[in-house]
Amino acid sequence: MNPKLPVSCPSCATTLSVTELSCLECSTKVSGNYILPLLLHIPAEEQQFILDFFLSSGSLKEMANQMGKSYPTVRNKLDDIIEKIKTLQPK
Amino acid sequence: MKKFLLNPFEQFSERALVVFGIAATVILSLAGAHFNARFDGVLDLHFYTPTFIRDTLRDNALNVAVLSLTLFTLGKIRNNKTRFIDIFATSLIARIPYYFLPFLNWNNVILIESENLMKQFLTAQPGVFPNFESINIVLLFLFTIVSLLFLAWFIYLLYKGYKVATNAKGAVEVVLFAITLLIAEIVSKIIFYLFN
Repeated sequence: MNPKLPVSCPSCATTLSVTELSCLECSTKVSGNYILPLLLHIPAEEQQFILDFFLSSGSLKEMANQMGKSYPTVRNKLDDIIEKIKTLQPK
Repeated sequence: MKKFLLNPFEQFSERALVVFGIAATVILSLAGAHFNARFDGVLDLHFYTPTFIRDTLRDNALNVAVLSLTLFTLGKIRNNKTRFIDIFATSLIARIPYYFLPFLNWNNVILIESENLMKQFLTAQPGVFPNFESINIVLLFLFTIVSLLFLAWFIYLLYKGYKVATNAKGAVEVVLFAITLLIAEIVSKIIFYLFN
């Protein structure tokens, strides 16, 4: 199972930050207060979409072929993600 | 199958849709001419005799052109990324269900019965109820119901295609689409009036 990364507080809905990182090899732990990167605020499926877009050199046509979807469907998905990221960006 | 019938625009490339749409328009226009159908407006279907292949082909070409241009204008205003090819494919594919309606005019049955009905209405004495054959009324009623269902299917497909082409969302877009469709109908009626 791949647990979903929580990005907002289940109690007050404020954006969460990273306070601890650990090494799976030697169990060393690093504490601090690190802000979650912007791309981690969107669902895993949308992160994968951005990665696929990057790996296909930004070709929506190639993406559409790979996904078995039409070109405007893929472009709309990208536009929706762009809009979402714009709203998440700190002003 | 459900996707294929109700929203092929998400799945199939614009090239496949255009090729299939043009082939279906030409073949079903030939069938339409055989059953004396005239598509004399974006939302219209009437039966006349004689109807020639060139009439039905010209009707459908004009309707697709008017629909494509009006919806593309709206799409471009609402979303600058809208491509003409997607709207053109939508206009071609969405009209296909409508092209099947002429098959109901087998042996000119709808044309003859609707003309009989009109004749009885026009020749009946004032205050006298025209004498209708109930089977004919049922036939015309069924044709009306099926026509409305196919019209709804056509408009549903048209909106789905428009939505994919323009990334339209929300009630405002639905209202604008409906207004544009009415404009397309008016424009097409004017063009048909001028041409005929």
